[in-house]
Formats: sequence, C-alpha cells, structure tokens
Amino acid sequence: MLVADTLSHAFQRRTLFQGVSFTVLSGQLLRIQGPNGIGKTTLLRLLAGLHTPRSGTISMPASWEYLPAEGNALFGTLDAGANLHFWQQLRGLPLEEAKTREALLAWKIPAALLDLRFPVGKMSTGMRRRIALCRLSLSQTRYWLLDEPTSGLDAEGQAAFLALVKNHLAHQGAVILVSHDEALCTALQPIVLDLGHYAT
Amino acid sequence: MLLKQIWLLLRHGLRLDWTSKERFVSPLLFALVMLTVFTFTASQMPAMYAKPVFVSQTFLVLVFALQNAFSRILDPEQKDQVAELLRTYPISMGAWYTAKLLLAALHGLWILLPSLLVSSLFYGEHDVGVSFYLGFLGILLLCLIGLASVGTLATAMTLQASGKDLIQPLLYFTLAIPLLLAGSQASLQLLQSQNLEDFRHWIYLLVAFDTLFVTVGVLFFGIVMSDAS
Repeated sequence: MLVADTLSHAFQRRTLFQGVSFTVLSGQLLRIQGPNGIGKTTLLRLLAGLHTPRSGTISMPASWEYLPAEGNALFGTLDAGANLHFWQQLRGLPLEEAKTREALLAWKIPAALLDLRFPVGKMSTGMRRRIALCRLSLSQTRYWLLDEPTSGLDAEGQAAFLALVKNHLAHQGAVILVSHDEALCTALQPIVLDLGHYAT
Repeated sequence: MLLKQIWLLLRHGLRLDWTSKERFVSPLLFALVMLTVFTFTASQMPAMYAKPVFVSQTFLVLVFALQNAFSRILDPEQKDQVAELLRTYPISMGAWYTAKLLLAALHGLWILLPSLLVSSLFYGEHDVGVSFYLGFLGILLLCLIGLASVGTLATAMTLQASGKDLIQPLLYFTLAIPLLLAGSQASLQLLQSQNLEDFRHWIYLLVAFDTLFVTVGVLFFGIVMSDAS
C-alpha cells in the first residue's frame, strides 16, 4: 500500500502544492492530473524519493519502479538486452536471456536489431521508450510510478502499453500515472487526483 | 550483497568504457610518449638526478591518466536520466561510489603498470633494484586509491556546476596536493635508503588520506548525487 499524507512541496519560495493526501492499494490506478507546471512530475519524484517533501510523509511499498518522463535511463552504447540485464541484475533478479528476448520481441523490437546487438542510442525515440517499458514489465515490481509513459509511442505501442497496464492491475499491481494522453486515461478509467485543488 | 552491487556496477562501467576504446588507448600512448621523452633527457643525467626524474615522471603519468578517467567517469549516468533511475533502485550509494572509485583506479593501473614495466627497462642501467620497484608500486597504489577517491567525489560535486570543466580540476588538484607530496617524498626516500623507518610517516599520511576520503565518499556520494541530478 502506498500512502501519502499531507504532502507539501516548494521550489525556493514558490509553494507548488500543500496538503496532498492519498492512498493507492493493489489493483488501483491513480492518475495525477492538472495543468502544466502545477507539480505533477514533482509529486511523482517525491514518491520516488528523488526529492524530499517540505512537509508530510510518504510510505512506499517495498517493490516499485519509476519511469521518468524526459528519459528512458538507457545506456546508448549498449544494446537492448545488455541494458535490461543491467537493471534486472541490480534488482537482484536472475539473468534470463531467453525471457528478456521474448519480452523485447513482444514489444516489437525487431529480432534483427537484437541479433546485431544494435546500440539503443541509435534507435528511434519510440523504440527506446518501448525498451524502457519492457524493463518495467520485467521488473517484477508491484507499484509503478509512470511519468508520461506513452510519449514517443506510436498507436501500436500505445495499445501495447494499455494492455500491459490492464494486465498489471489485474495481477494486483498498482500504477500512479502522470499523463496528458486523454485517450489512454479514458481507456484505463483511473482514480483521479486533481493537483489543481492543492495548488496555492 | 554490497560486494555484489559493487561488482555489478564496476563490470558495467568497464563494459561501457570498453565501447569507447579511445579511453584506454589515448592515455597509454601519452604515457609511453612521456616515458620516451623523459628517458631521452634522463639518459644524459647522472644517476642521482635520473632517479628523481623517474619518480616525477611516474607521478605525472598517473595524475594524467586519472584526470582523463575523471573527466568522463559519470558521463553514462548523466545521460537519459540514468542517475535518477539508479537513485530509485535498491542499491547502496556507497556501492555506486566504490564502483566508480575502482573504475578510476583501474584506469590508473592500466597506465601505471605498463609505464613501470617500460621504465624499468629504460632506467635499468641506474640499478634501482627490484625491492625499490615493489616498494614504489605499493606507494603508487596508496596514491592511486587516494587520488581516485578524491577525483570521483570532486567530479560528482561539480556535475551541475557552471564551468565544471574548470572547477573540477581546480578542486581535484587542490585536494590531491597533500597526497602527491606525501607520495613523492615517500618514493624519494625509498630511493635513497629503502628503509621503511625513514619514510614511515609519509606512508601513514597516505593511509590516513585514503581512509578519510574513501569514508567521506562512501558516506556522502548519495547526497552529492541527489543534488547533482
């Protein structure tokens, strides 16, 4: 269970939001929404432990994975498999090359690129996002913190992401989502946290 | 668990560095050119001057190799929000720092060992002896750990600084001066007497310096990186 209790945060003298409280249980999807600059990404980063809130407390579950908006956390000179293996090993997960390859193929990463050990830095934005989402699906974590996860994805990728999230929720996973993709949010029917109500 | 994390991060760092082989080749070539130039000069000198020149040259090569390593040691983490994701993963920040320190030290060793080998051939006629080389290697390893720990921390501290290209070497060299002085003094006294009692205090200083900066790095690297990313 993820619990945020009366969170407030500020950058220098500008208070972004205050008194934000919510709980996310297994099987739930929470969408953090609001206009640009309201602090959605900041709130997600607070949950991920990348910032310390000015006040309030956060109780995170033991296992969770974060996907940033402006990057995919991939090493450009390595191939997709090497990237995923690195992150899996850091999580203490066993190295299963066949399983990783299968997951990458399911995300429509061409087999030829995998065979060539093609560096991810030379792949398109959408391909790199698919690999980052593949890392998410292999992470074996219960809670996912996702910041604009579908940016750069084509229609096929968006459909695959939708299926991934639905499957995750069906298996008692939970998702905290920041996204401006209204079609995606409509399809997922999330619980909504409107950060505009907490802005100062 | 901690050792496993250090090994994973170190192996990954080596793998990333290996994709750009210039990182290994350029400093090695520099070191060999330096050796050749110094040898041409030193060969005209009497042994009492040639030996200190040999020590100075080895330290110069070591410092250059490490500076080359530090200039890009955190580059992979700076791209594509890798550092941010690493900070959210269940890993020790101390393990991350130690892996980076060891990576820098390995870059230093990669230059140092061939340099020592080649210089032992060049300076062989001055008869410095195997025991000197072993002692000298020990002193250099102590310096290497200290320089790598300071340099890694200084690089992390200046990641987001405007003008970091200037600030990082200034910070690094300022902090490294006591270490270089102690290392060079210990080496010169080793040349003269090869009696540990004569330079024990310099060795203690090197060990104290290494212990201090490795400890500071392990404890504060996480904080430094949280400010930097």
